[in-house]
Amino acid sequence: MIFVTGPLYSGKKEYIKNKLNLTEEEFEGLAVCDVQELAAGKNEAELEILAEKLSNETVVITTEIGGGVVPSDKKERENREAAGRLSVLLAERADTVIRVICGIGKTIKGKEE
Amino acid sequence: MLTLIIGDASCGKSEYAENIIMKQGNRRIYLATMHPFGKEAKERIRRHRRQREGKGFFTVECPKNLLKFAEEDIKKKEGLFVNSDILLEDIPNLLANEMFDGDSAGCDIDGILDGIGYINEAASSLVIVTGNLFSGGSGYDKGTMEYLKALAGLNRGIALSADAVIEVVCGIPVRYK
Repeated sequence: MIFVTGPLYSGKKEYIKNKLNLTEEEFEGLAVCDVQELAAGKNEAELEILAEKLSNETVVITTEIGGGVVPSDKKERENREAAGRLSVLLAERADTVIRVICGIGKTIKGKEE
Repeated sequence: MLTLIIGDASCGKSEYAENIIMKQGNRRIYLATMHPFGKEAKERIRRHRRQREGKGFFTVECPKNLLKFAEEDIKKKEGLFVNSDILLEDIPNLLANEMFDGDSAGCDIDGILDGIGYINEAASSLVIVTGNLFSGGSGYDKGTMEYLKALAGLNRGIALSADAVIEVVCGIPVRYK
């Protein structure tokens, strides 16, 4: 599994689509996007199960959301932390981890192709 | 030679950018974008000025209309930008001024990119500082989201034509391009 992470609007989908030479349709079939949203409301055990499941996918993409001020709303705070933990679990299971900034990817785990 | 520096707030990106310019040998231009409105802005400007002290920068201010500013300068016989080493700081400010400031508010991404291209062509080297405002979620109002989207587009546009793209993390440069 290739795990792609990066800030909002950083061009993650476009980058991986070009890198793997995928059409829009192929991309839709191979990639699971915005997994930070799937983490919302899940406890640790549930996140493990989710990460296991996602590790069978070809491409998993998340948007970093943990870099701002700690939200005052409890639920938002928990969701933000769940998203962060899910990213760690996914990165552990991934063969390749790519971080995308300004449309440019950098491989931070695994071999650069 | 165009270098784009990106980083979180107070990560040391300005200082890193200044040091790149210091290694060049031409006239040093600091292209400032911040409106000196309010106490905090003035304080920030003071801090950055102190940081640049003794580094021999000539400061020029362009809070908006970068393309027009660049065209006018380069047209002059002794334009400031020509053959200089230029530090443009920073993109989030410039865009905010373009989008939210006064009567001619609007969002001309291509105009900013053209202005940058123009300056880069005339300059010996251009270093641009931008911000990473994109890791704190998307729970903002519509206007802010539009601003973020425009800023991200601008960052990607600059990165595309840049020779080097560097993220500064805790003062440490991480090269992306």
